[in-house]
Amino acid sequence: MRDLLQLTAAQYRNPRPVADVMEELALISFAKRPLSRLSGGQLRKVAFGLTLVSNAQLLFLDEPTVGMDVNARQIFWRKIEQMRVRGKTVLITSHYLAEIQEVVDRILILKAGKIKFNGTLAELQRGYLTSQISFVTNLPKARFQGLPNVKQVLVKGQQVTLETTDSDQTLRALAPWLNQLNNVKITAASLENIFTAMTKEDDRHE
Amino acid sequence: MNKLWEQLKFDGKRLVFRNPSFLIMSLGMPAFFYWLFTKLFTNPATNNREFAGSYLGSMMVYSLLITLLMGMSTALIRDRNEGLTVFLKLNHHRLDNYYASFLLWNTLKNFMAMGILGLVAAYLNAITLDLVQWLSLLGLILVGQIPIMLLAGVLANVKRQETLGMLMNLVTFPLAIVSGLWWPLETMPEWVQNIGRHLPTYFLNHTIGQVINHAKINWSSVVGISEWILIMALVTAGVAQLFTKRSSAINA
Repeated sequence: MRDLLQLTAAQYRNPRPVADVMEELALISFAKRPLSRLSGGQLRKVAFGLTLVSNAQLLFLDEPTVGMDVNARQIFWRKIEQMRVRGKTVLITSHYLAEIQEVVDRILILKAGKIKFNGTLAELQRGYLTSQISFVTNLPKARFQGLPNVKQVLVKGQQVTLETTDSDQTLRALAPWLNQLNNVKITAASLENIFTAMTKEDDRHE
Repeated sequence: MNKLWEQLKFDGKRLVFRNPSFLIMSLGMPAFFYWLFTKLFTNPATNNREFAGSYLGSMMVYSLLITLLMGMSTALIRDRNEGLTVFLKLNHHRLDNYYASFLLWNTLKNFMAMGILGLVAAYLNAITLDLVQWLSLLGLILVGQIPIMLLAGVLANVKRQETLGMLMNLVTFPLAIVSGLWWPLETMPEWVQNIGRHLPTYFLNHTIGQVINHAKINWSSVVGISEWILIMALVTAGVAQLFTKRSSAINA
């Protein structure tokens, strides 16, 4: 494995030292192991190591965290953040939206081969959904439909989730029933929520 | 230069020093056959010293066949199917260092086999070669491997490793048998001898045998090798053109 990193480093004018990259990504323990005897997660780490040794200014990473364990994923995102701070451009394609939203400056959403959205997470949240208010109640679903800015009411047993474009206004409208609501939680819409809402919306239109 | 050096280091480990099939098939098996046919199954009617000398040449050529047709073509196809060539192309834009390293290591593998088989022959049958003989063998192996190397390159154009495996067996062993590498050509039917005497491996084997046994060099064999280099170069160019046309048709 170390040999492949060294071979890759030799292809670039200004590579990073292989030993440094191996230490940063905790690759040293299997440095001498053939690639064919590495697990899927270890191979992902090696693939990331290959991009790091190049010391390139622009990186394309396709589903980089598939198969990585929790520790490896944390190291990976820490490295991406460091590279971002150093001014490197990293283009990541991923289905793990929760991870992506923590680090990215810009999001592009592809649907059927076309760019459906291009902008920041804040812009995306403003355009599609801002937050979710969830609580436990015995009140009927009908009570919450038609509340200001509520786009969708999801009910699972006694658990109710309101998807709203303005959580402040919706919360004010809920005030008369607050004593009948338990475990009230307000969360800003995640990239995953927005993506799900977007795709559901599109499916309805089709 | 650093790129070529790293490529050489990388390939040296994976193609030679950490490659058990090279050690077993290209070195171990010919050495074993040499012991078997010169020490165990000997014919009192034949000149054992001369046979041991010419059989040494046969095993050197046999080892070369295995190294190139089985080892080199398999490694080429594996590198292509596992994405190493694309990876190097993406990083370096060209594959010149990759191919240079491949050719160099495969040549060195043939030289190593030559040296080791020479030592085995010295140990088993007291066959000693002087410096001129060793240098002549080096030159013959260097030139004689070219048509086989080109054939290995042509074979490596097949898509699947399984297809290559079948082709390798269909080409390597008949080529070895018909060229008289396993048994003397004279023991075979005349029509087989006629085919065998026109093959590049026969020319190489024949000339190496003459060098080892201090016999007069038959230059028509050297001409035969040169003709095969030309033929295989034309075949390689034709196949390369065919693949280029096909890939441009796909991209169009």
